[in-house]
This record gives sequence, structure tokens and C-alpha cells, in this order.
Amino acid sequence: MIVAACALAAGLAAPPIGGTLYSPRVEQVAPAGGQRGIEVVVAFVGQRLAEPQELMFTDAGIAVIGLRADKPERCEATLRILPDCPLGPHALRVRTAFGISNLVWFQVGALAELDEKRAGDAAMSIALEHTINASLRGEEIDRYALELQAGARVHCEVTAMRLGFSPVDLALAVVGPDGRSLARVDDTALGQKDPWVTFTADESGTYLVAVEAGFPDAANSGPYRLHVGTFPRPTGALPAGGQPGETIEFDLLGDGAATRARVTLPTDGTQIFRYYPENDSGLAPSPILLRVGGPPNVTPVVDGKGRAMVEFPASLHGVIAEPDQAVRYFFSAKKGQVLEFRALARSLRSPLDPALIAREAGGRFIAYNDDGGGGSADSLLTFTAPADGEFSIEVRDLLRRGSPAHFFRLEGSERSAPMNLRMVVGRLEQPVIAVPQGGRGACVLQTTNADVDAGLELLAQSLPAGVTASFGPILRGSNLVPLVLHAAADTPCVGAHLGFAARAAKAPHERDPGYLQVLPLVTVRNDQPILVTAQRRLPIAVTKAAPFTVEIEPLTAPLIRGAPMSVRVRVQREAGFAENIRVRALWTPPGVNAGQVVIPGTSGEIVLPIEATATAMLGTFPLAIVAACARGGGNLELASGFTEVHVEEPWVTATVGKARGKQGTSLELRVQLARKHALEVPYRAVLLNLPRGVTATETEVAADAEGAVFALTLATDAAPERHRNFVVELRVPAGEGIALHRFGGGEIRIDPSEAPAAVAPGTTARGVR
Amino acid sequence: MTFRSLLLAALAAVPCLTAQTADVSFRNDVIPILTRAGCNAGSCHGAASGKNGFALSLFGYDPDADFRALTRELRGRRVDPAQPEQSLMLVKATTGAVHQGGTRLDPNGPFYATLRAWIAGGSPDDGKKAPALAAIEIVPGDSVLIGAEADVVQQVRARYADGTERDVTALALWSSSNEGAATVTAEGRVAAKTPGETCVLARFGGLAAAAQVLVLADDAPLAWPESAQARNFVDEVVHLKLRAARVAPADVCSDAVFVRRVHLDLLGLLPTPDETRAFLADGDADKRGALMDALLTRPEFAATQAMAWAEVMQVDAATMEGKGASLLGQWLRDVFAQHRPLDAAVRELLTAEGSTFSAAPANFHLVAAEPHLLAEKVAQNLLGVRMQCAQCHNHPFEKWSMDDYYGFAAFFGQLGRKRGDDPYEWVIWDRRNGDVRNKRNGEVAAPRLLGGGVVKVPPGTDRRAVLAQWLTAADNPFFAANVVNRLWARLFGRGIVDPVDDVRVSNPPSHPRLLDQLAKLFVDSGFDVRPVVATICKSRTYQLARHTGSPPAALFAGNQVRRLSAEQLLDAIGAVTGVPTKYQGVALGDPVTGLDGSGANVRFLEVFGRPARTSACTCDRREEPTLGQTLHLINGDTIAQKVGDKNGRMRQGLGAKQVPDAMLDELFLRAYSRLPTTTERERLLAAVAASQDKVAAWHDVYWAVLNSKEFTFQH
Repeated sequence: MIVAACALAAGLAAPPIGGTLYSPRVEQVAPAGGQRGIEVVVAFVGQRLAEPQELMFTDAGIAVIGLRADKPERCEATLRILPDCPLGPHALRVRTAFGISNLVWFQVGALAELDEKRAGDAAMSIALEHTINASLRGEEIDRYALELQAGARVHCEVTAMRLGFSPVDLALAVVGPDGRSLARVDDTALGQKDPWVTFTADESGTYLVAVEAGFPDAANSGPYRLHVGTFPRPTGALPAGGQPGETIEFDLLGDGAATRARVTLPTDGTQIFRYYPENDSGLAPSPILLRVGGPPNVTPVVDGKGRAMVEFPASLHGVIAEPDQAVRYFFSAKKGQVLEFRALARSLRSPLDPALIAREAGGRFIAYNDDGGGGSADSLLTFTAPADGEFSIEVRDLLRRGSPAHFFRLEGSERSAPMNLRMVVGRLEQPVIAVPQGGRGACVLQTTNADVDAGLELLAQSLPAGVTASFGPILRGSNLVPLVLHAAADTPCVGAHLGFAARAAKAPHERDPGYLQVLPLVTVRNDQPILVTAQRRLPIAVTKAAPFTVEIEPLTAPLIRGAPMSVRVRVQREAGFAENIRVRALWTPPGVNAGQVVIPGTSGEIVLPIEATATAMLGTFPLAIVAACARGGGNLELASGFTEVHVEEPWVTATVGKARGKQGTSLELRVQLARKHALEVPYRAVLLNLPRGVTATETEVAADAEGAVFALTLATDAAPERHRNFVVELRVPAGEGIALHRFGGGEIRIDPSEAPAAVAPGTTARGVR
Repeated sequence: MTFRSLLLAALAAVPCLTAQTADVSFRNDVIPILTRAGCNAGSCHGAASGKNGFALSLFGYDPDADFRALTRELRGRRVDPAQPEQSLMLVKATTGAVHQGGTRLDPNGPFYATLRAWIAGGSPDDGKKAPALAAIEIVPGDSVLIGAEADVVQQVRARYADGTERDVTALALWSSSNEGAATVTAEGRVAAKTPGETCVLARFGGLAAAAQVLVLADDAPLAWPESAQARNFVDEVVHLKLRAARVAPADVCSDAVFVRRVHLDLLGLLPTPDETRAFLADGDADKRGALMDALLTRPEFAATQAMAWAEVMQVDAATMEGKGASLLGQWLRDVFAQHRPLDAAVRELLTAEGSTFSAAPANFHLVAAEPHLLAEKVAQNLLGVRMQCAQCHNHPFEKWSMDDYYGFAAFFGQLGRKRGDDPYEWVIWDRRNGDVRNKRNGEVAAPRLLGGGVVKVPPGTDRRAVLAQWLTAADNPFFAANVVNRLWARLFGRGIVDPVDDVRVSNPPSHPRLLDQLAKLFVDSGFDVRPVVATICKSRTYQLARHTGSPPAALFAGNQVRRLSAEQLLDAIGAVTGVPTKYQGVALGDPVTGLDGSGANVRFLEVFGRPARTSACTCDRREEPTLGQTLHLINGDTIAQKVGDKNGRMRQGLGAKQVPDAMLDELFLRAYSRLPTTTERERLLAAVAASQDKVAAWHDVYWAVLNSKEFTFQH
């Protein structure tokens, strides 16, 4: 009764055994952010949040100095946001004694923060250089009164959808002291669904800033942060990126005159870096985006014909400044050379919708791409040089628009395919692993572009003390790798972010397998993401011991191609734990299939059937199962340890013959046997799946026999037709077990008897009612 | 009959079609005979898959295919030049062999003789040598028949491209749009039945011509009322027809009726008691004109116009997502509120590009996914022309061919459409390449204006811009007429062309000159609807009371009583009870005109016929009364909840100890725009006084008023 005891210790009603506290979930963070350098009390509202133990932040900068829960639907943390805390969203998960929650964001800003306070519909008075944490409800309009002096240039920006909770679509309107509408902004390229506006006060007085739904819909409301100040508001940079660790200088686009800035790009695998522009007026409340990676930045050389010549690989930057403008780069290529061009614009929040056109130097069209960049309006064009010569790659806006803000980054290089790793998760699952004390947690990893020939194996990094990791092999023919984590019974409840390394048998230095989990934060329309974040380390937690453990009984015989096998699964239940437990294989080798079974609440074991196809991969593989029970929305999932399964060729093959006889008679079915493996003891042979009305004897076969004969008896009402679905099963002793062999391909033909049998009323001629 | 004698003389001058015709034309003789005989009708061999292995193009729109079918298929057995009488096409048509279609030709008749002569002559196809049919005309055309025995023989004259003319009366297909008024025989004889009006249609060679026939009961002189003086050109045209039809117009309606009518028509709302009192008390002779001028400047007028166009544009979340519908709805409201010329607005609409979440007019391009379907919508919504038939065959009742159809669709053939950053968002743009293929021959269709021929669109030019320019040109024959016709229909309950989105030869305008003059006014006013509405509403015709007789509605001799629209009725109930309906996205108390989309979640609107906006057809709006509507008013929760609401006018009035007389006055002024009559006052107040439960008694009074025809109908 460990689960109940823990819950009671926390002062809560005892959770029903079976795991209603598993799978914690956070649905709201209030306030959604805070100013760096201060302490703030933040509520996490959701489900199954009892016994919170840690806020698992991905990045440094926020210290948790208090964490408590007064009910399962809510826990509260006191956060100390360090003065040098990086700005922007900080990803975190709530770890409880029972699991790890979904990922949510907590925003860190530079401006002083206020909570929304208003009387009825009245406007809330605010001052410049503030962030207001507020929430829009229903069809209300939140108004803020701002006293401004004539000439003040003010930026207002809303963070709502970008909080990462819902696809809320808000608009921002500004009304002058004379009641005249100065601006109404809805979607923006930089903020996606979040608006921002810049205005200059023509006269001194009270200006009203209104936050309202971008369009009326009952669901279009929710929390937001309104930033008001004189901070800079650039929308992009040129160049818009560089390589990891590179210090780049760039011009900021937008917000008046260009300003130069300088930054060193991170080396932690980040591909999109958030840079917060800063000047004497302050820091922008949301970042511009810089690409980290790709080929080095290059400045084209203008040749005598005025052409911008480039040698790829290179990253180029430009602006489609005018409508109908195209920017064209020329390059040389050899026949058959393949180059991949990637236009980055919308993914860097440029308003440009880039289209790429490859041409011969003379202008003749070769290839075109729009939107091939994967999930955004960005484009990816694969170019194969049709001949030796000069070519060009052209960037234009699909709608033929242009402005100084329409910037792009064009990356051109030969194709490369680095290794990549991710955890396989279902639509409603989180890429996290909970490992109960004294138990196991597991997942399946998916590899892409793994160098199978190098004999790669995966390693786990940053494992907590007491936790061990076991990986399955990286196989040719399967891109899935099972991982089982085990926690010793005395391991404390801790959390960790697991890293991965890959080691090749031939060259045993470790390399980065490129673990990257893209997590949808905000989705619309059947889970299509519109805001995502990347997870580069896998969160795991040691949780309180589960009310049951599960093991596979070691397999005593090989799994023969074309035959089934029974895997006995045993569970050890805590007293009183009587939930049904679903059992499935964590992973199976290529060509091996497993079913799903349920262990009834009254039972402690079950047989999980697996079978190998006739072409299943041969060898020895680790087999593990997952046992799960779900109740009340929570899900408790445990794994067994690995057990080896040997997939082998048949030791003996059988060629099944044909037999023919009339209803009501007896006949023989002959089977030819050929040994592929030296057998030492006799074995039994049986016929399975015989048609109704046909019975057969079970036969003992000598170890060196080259054939077997089955005596068949045909009933008078046996179905008179050809039967081909039966199989011969050979039960060959193998150590302490039996290696099942199965063969089909035979035929039993049943002819009608001379005198047709009398057909009983209500019965068809075939005897089938 | 004078017409008869005239026409007989005319007929005598026209050469008849006989077997002696030296050169029978396949195009101009054979196919018309097959059409007249019904061989290529949709129910026979003109069906898409033909009949019994023999397929002809519907009404002969594809002569090349028909020629192949007749002379090449079935190993040429359908025509036999050696033994023309044994040709299958003659044997079948005269039931010499089993023919499911029965006897189609008289073996002794002229049609048989012509076909026989064509076969005997080797079944030639005169192809392009045959002069193309240029036009057909009915003579004498528009007629007035007096008395039930009257008749007139109409004749169809065909004019060909080479200048020749021909009487094709015998080859034409005749029909009457109102057989209750007059029938027409296969020979063109129009016979009067009962007083009324009909349109006699003749179809020949893919063209159609129509004549309006007015049937009068007798020739008694008309006593034209002295007060019925024309106030503007609207009255002049309407009166002209009324005089021809021997129908006197109704009297002008009372001020009380007028103030209610004009508020509902122009604003979609009932006048407030103060507005009604002020208007009734106003002694100015031109107070009606002044009121209309004032109403035309109110934002509710713009909103009502925008809602009507939103309905035409099928603005709805189901088509263009919630946000797109909201943006396009707001854009339409801005167009009318800011007095933007409609021609410019339509050009912006038709050439819109960009995200549907930022470029509001771009949402219009989401009403149909295929270029030809979008073209259909544009034709029907903006031009009032239904092109759908011509997708598969030439329009049977109009001049539109498949070439017209696919040529018009070609204007949208280069429209790009892709999902935006948000899966709910679309991006619309001009791809500047791409074509539409004509289903008839698989060839690329060149952009072709309706009635304007093929246009050459320079590469790099948005084809839609060319279309938009033509469509909104001052001399466009459809656009301005369609706009003013829709305005007229909303004010009178029926259009000058009715239905308003079905302009065709066989559905001519009741008052063509009026339509022209209103369209001209619209164009001359800078494509502003306000002067048109003002002119119509200031006419005596608009201000008529209900007619005491029952003249045809198309004469506009009196006001047509009609049920309030779903939107008017729900807002009216809210206004009378003081409990307005809250619509999604619309501030409480604001009218339904702010609601973008079909309002599918407002049950009342659905029951009373607010269209689902899934179709371009005006028939999408259900105006017929239904049992569901009656039950909803009698037993539904709308009236019960609003009347019984504690913040409603009735409970508030009782709470404030309002005098019963005053409560009743206010109720009547709000619901009917008049005070109660003495009888009404006595009976209703007596019923209230006799009741112990005043709330229940007043609830009953409200219920009775809100269920009365005088309230639920526009009059």
C-alpha cells in the first residue's frame, strides 16, 4: 500500500490504487511569467499534481525555493528568477512522486510586472515599461489607460498564443485621447497570432490600449501578457544566423534605423536562437530568431556582368525589398552534382513567403519549390546539375510582395543526413520515462540515418545513481531501439534529463546521436502544431514504487521462423491491487509479431503469444514487455527486464502431402521431413486447424525419421471440399522447452459419399445451419 | 383577331421547309429537326450516356459529335443512302422498328422528308460552310390578349451570319412560363386562359427568344385614380405597365404603416415608440422623404446592406473558417459604412491576394475550390446569371455555351491556394500560369467574358483583374442591373427579374426599362446604393398600401405582405420585450447584422429560414411558413423567456407600477408602430383588470401581440 501511504502522508485523500496520480498534467501556469531578479509565486493548475517534488527546468536561471500542493489539481511554487536569467520562455515539467508532467513554458521578462486589476469594464491604468499579466474572458475587451506625453514613441506587444497553452488569437487596438482609432493589429509575421503595434503620441493625454479577441469565438480567450514600453522592436536580422559558437555581427531590421548588434551563437545543439534586441530604451519583450547551423555565411562576389557569384556550400542573406523583386545568385556545378537549397524566412519570422527557382545561367527554368521546408512556408529545393556549367538560384516572394522587412537566409550545400534520435510517443503521450523504485520504465527510440554498418550502440548519459539503462541493438531493417531503465528499490525519487551517446564497435569514441524531440505546444485542427519547442534531453524520474512488478519468464526454446511461441508474463501485485493489467511487447525484432493481452485483476500471470514470420530476422534479441493500467486519466506503465529471444531457422522442415477420401471413411496424410539440425530425441507431430468433421491422430516421430503419417477419420458430415488451411505442428524438444515448428501447404480433399446423407430440416447440404 | 391575320400574311411570305429543299443543311436543318422531335432531349438520346447505345449532344450543342454518331457509329446503319427509308434513324423514329421513344416523325410530314433528302444526298456535314445562327427573334413578340378566347400566333425568325433570314417557327421548341395565363402550341399559337402574364419562350439552335404576353379579362376602360400620380421614373414605368394591364394601383399606405415598413426595410429594425410618435406627429408634407434620407445615413442601413451581401457571398465559418468569416463580414460592413463605391469593392474582392487571416476579401475565394465552381459563384452572385447547366452542355434556356462556361472559368484558372502558417488559414495568390480545360473538347479554354467574347490577357497579368474591370465597367450589362435588382427585391419581396440570381432570356424582367434606369442611376451615382434605395423608396409604388384586388405580383400594383425575415423577427421580438438576443461576437443589444456566418447555433434563425450559406442560390433562404415556425412562436422558448424575463419590459413596467394604458400604448407602438384601437384597448385592458395574476395577464397580452400576423408580417 505504498501509494496510499504516500498520499496520506501528503494530507490528501488516498488515491485509488491503480494510478490516478500517475501522468501528472499542467494546463495552466499563473502568472504565465515574471520579471528577472524577483521572486514570484506561480500556480500550476492541472491534474494529478499531488506530491510535487521538482520543477524540471531545461535551462538554468530560475531557482525553486518552495513547492507545495494543496490539492491534486493545483500546486504552487515560489520561484526566484535570477538577475542574469535568460529572457523568454523557460521550459519546465512538474515532477511528482508519481511521474513527470507535460512540458509548459514560464516566461521571463525584463519589464516590471503587474497583475490585471480592473473594476468592471473600466480601463486599468498602467505606465510605460511594464508587463501586465492578464486574461481575456469570453467576448470582453480589456482596456488599459496610458498617460503619454506628446511625441512619445510606444511599443505594445501581446504574448498570448506564444505562451504555449492554446491557439488564442488576440488583437491589439490603440485609441487616442480624442477617441480616434490609431491602430488595430491582429496577426503579425513576428508574433504569429500575437499582435504588436508601435505608435507615436501626437498629443499629450490618455491613450487607450485595448486587447480583444481577433475574431469572436467562445474558445478564443485566455491568458496573455501585455508589454508596454519604449523598448526596441526589430523584427529580424541580417545576417540571420551563423554556425554554432560563432560570434556574428548583424544589422537589426525594422523599428526605424538599423542598429548593429553582436552575439555568440550557442553550441548546445540549438538550431533557432532567440536574441532579445536591446538598446538604451530597454530590451525587446520577445526575441528575433537567429539560425544556428548550416553552411558558413558568405558574401557573394559580384562579377563583371554584375552577377552575384557564390561557391556552395554557403549561407547567404538578403532582402526582397520591392514588390516583384527576385534575388538571384549564380554558381558553377558539375553534371550530376546535387545541391540542396533551403530558404529560411518564415521560420525566422520574416514576412517573406519564399519561393525558390533554379535556372540555367541564361535564365532557362530548371526547378521550382514552394513550401518544401517542412511545416512552414519556407522552401527546400533539391538541384541536380543537368550539365557542367553555370546556374542560378533565385529567391522571390510567392505573392510578389516586398519590403525592407522581407529578409531571408539561403543555405546551399550538398545533401547531408546526420544521425537523429527521438523517442516514439503516441498522440497523447509525453516523451518522458517514469521509473518506479525497484521497477522499470521503458521506451522505444527511433533512429534516423544511423550508421548500422559501424555496429553502433547507444549509451545513456546523466543517469541518476541507482538507475541503469539497457538498450536493444541498432539493427538493419529496423529503425527502432528499445530502452529499459531500472531503478534500484532504494533509489530516492529524483529526476534527470537523460543524454544519449552513440558508440561504434569499430571506432569506440562516442558521438552525438542527435537526440531531438519536437514537441507541439499549441495545436489546432486535429493536432496540427502551430507552436513547437525542441527537447534535447529526455526527462526521466524515479517515482514511488508501483503497486506491482512485472517479469518475463526466461525463454527455454528458440523461436522458429514461421512458428509461434508463448511468453509467460508474471506480475507481482501489492496486496489489494486488483486492477486489470494490459500487456504488450515493448519492441519486437524485425519479422516478429506480438499480440496484446490483459491480465485480469485476480490473476498473476498470463501468456503473451508471439510469432515469427517466415522471413523474420535471425539472431538473438532482447525482448521486454510493457504492463500498464489506467484509471481516472492517469496511466501507470511498467516494463519488464530484457529476456533474450533466439530466432532460428526451422530445425526440421516438413513437406505436407495431399490426402483424398470420401465422407465417412478413413485415410492417411503423409508428411516428408528433412532435418536441418541434428536431433537427438523423438518429437511429436500434430495436425492443427483441421476442418470440422476431420479428426487425426497425434504422431510420435523418431529423431531421424524422414516422414510421418497421420491417420485421418472423415465424419459422414465432413464438408466435401478441398481444405488447405490446416498446419502440421512439430513439437521438437529443445533443452527444457519445446521449439514449435509449423508448416502448411497440404491438402485434404473430401468427396461426398456415394449416397448423399439425409439433410435434416433446417440444415444446409453442407451441414452448416 | 387582328394578330392572326397579320401573322398569316407574314407566314405566307416565308418559304416553308419541305423535302424539295435542294441542299439540306446538317447543322441548320437536320439537328433542329432532331431537337424539335425530342430526339436529343435530356430524357432521350441527349442524356449524358445516351439511350440504348445511341447518344446525341443535348439539344444539338455539339454537331460534330452528332454527325459522327449518326453517320459513323453502328457501322453506318443509322443512315443508308441507297435505301434512305431503311435508315435506322428514320425506321426507329417512325416505329418501323422497336423504339422506346415511340413515334417521333410523321412519315408523310415535312421533317421526315427533309431527313430523307439529307440521307439520300449522302448525309453530308456542311460544317463550317453552314452559316452560323446569329440570332432568333419572336414576332410579333410582346402581346396583350384581351378575353379568354383571345390568341396570337407567334413566329420565330432566325438570322444567320451570312445575313439570311428564315422562319423556323416549325422547328422551334415553345413553352409558356405561366400556363395558367396562356398556353402556347408547338406551332407558336398563344391562347389566353386567365388574366395574368406569361413569358412565351422559343428555343432554336441553342438560342432562346422570349415574348411577354399579358392576358386581360376584358377591354373595359381603366378608371385611373387621380391621386396615382407618378413621383419619379419608378412610378412612370410601373404605371405604364399597370395601364396596359388595366390595373389601378393601390392607395398610398398610412404613415404608421410606412414608418414601420421603411424602418424594417432599410434598417432591419422596428422603429422605437419615440421615432414613431415623432414621425406621426410631424406635419411636414415631405416627412417621408426626410425620414428615408435620415435612415440612409444610419449605420444600421450599412449593416443591413452588408448582411445581405454577406449572405450572397456565403460568408460563414463552415466555408472560410471563423476568423475568415469574421474578417470578410467586417470588410463588407466597412464597405457600406464608409460609402465605398461598390465597383471598387468588387474589384478588390475579385483580385484579392494574401492570407485569409489578414486580407479579408481573399476569403471570398474560398467559397469554391475549383476554378469553374468559383466562376459559377461569381456569375450567380455578382451578375445574377446561373451558368451551371453549361458545365456539361450548352444552356438549354439561354445562350451560354460550354465555351462560355469554361472560358469564364479560365479567369480563375491561375488562382493559387495553399494552407498558411495556421492550418485554418489559406493563402490566395495569382500563380500567373495554369489553365482550365473545356470539358467538351479537352482543349485549353481561353478567358472569355460572358457576352464579351474571348479576351487576350497579357502574360504576367492577373486574369481576375481583367474580369473585374469588365464586370464593374459602367456598360457591363449584368452587374449594375443585378445590384439594383437585388435592392428592389429586398424592398418589394420580389425582383424585377425574379429570382434575382436567374437572369435569362426565358426569365425576362417585368419592367426592363425600370431595371435599366435604376442601373444607370446606380452607375451615375458612383456605384452607391443609397441614391437607388432613396429613389425607389420615394416612389409612390414603394409606398403603396396592400391592393384590394389580386393583380399579379410582378405588376407592383400594391404592397406585398410578407413575413418578417428570421433576423428581423428575432430582433423585433427583442425590441418589443426589451430582451435582445445575444449573438456570438456581437455586443448585447446590437442587432443580428453584426453576426458573421449563418448563425447556425441560433435555433430561432434556423427555424425561420436564415440560410446556411452553403449555396449561391437565393433559394437558400427559406421564406415559406412552416409548422415549426408557428409552433416556435406559440410554444417555443424565445417569446416565453423574453416576455417573462425579469429585466424585460413587461416585468420592469409592472415593477415600476406603470399605468396599464401606457404599457399597452408602448407595446403597440413598438410592435405595430401604432396605438391600440378603442376596441383593442377595451378588451385587452379588461382582460388584464380581470386577472388576479397581472404578470400572467400581461404575459398573455404580449404573447398575443407577438403571435399576431400584424407583428410577424411586413406590410
